[in-house]
Amino acid sequence: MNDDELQVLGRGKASRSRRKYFVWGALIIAFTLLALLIWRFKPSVENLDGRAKIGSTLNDDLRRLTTGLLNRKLTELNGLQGQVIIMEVQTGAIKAMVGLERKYDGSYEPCNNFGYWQEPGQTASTAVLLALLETGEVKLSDEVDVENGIWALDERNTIRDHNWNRGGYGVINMERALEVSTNVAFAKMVNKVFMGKEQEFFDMLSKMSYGQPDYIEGFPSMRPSLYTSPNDSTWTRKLLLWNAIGYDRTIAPIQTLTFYNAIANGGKMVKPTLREGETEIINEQIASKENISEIQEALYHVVTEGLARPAGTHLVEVAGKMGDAQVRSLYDSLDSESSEYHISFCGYFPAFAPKYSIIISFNKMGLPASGGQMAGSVFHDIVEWMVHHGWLNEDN
Amino acid sequence: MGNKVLIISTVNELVRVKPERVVYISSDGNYSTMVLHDKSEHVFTLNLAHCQQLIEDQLGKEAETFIRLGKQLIINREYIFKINVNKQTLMMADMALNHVFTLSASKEALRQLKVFMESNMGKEMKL
Repeated sequence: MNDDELQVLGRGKASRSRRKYFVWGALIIAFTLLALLIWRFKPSVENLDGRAKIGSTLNDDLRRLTTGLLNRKLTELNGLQGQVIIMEVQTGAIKAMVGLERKYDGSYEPCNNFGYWQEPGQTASTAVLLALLETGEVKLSDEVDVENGIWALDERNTIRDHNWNRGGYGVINMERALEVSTNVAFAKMVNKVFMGKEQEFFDMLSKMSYGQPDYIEGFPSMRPSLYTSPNDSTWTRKLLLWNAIGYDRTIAPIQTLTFYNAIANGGKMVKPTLREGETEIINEQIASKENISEIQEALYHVVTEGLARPAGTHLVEVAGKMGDAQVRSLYDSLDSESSEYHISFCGYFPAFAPKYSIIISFNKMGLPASGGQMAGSVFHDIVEWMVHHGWLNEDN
Repeated sequence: MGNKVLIISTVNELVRVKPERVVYISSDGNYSTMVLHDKSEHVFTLNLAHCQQLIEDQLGKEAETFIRLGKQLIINREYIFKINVNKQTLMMADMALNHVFTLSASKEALRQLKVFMESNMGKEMKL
């Protein structure tokens, strides 16, 4: 009873104290929700400097090391920008992510370029080779004649190997083609298998979740991988061949790393995450186990017998693939000093019981541009440091 | 009624009284007058809201025996004897008293009190 003119004493007090408790309860709930929200969206702040925060997967020691190594390499090569991301194979936990870009004075400063989106070059060859194997029509031992390393598609479009001016590789099998990154071998094999049914090539890559994920919390600049498919009005048939050698499709380094991580993880693709204990599966099995293990073997040979030898180390067996792509050309001239190259190496270690996957990716002006030599050497340094500092021990 | 005791203390005075002895408290702005069943009156420099808070704080559930009527009265419902809405009078008495306290209140306050007492018919023994 609490009318305007009448109030039973004691009851109003009870309701007042109830109201007081209610207000306090509501405030506590509101603060808890606010704290949860802040905690939930913390990585978007976290990745600005790549520093480790409580509950995050990042490791400060590894960040300092990779920052130093990347800085040294970019300075040595007069690079434009670069990034290194290190991920735990089983969980997708990002252990380090470092991005640097050149300032006007020539020094490098940290930046949030993990969603940097460009054509990957031959790091895409692994996905293309896996797609070829998945069709059942191609085996690693199948041979292709790359002749002198030049394949003129028409008057304006020519696909070249890195050694075209030294005579090319001639007849080469697909595994060796991966080891030495011959563009012509991949273009010819994809032409043979997929020409006339181009959409199947893209469907196969999509089935393997290549280019996934579209978005990762904490990577605000990320976008879905973009490519032209036969369904697009701008499609031309020769784009299939450019796709076969890692052109025409733009992809962020973290997306490339996610794909290689899936290969390292026996075909299970997990989403990269900055949160400890949160593992999300993107694709339970991107390709058959047999083909995955063949690709694993081939990636190991890329480092032991191919052009990525600088990435190898006597401390542990590593596997991976290098790539370089001419991503921008100011004067439309081939191999000119005015061209910008994207150089990368994506790999994992130990090769046959993978624990960590790493991508090193950066851009520089002009030639030489060698993923194996330039990015591979950074990979080598990171792996040796991690091994020396006990990252392969059981408790890590 | 329980064993609780109401204590009203001001700068110079302290009154200790059993709640059932309080017939009503009337207020005139900053002063409140507590009238006991023996017709004794005790004036405090407290406003009615302050008195209400003291009663509620000290008596807890037992404070329900008191009803605030309008802005100037707190009455002990145990003493309610007669409500006349038209004449705007409220008579306070019980069999132990040889005296009837006649209070005046607004029609609306008395009407609400009448409705309240009607709604509590048969429940008073529970207090």
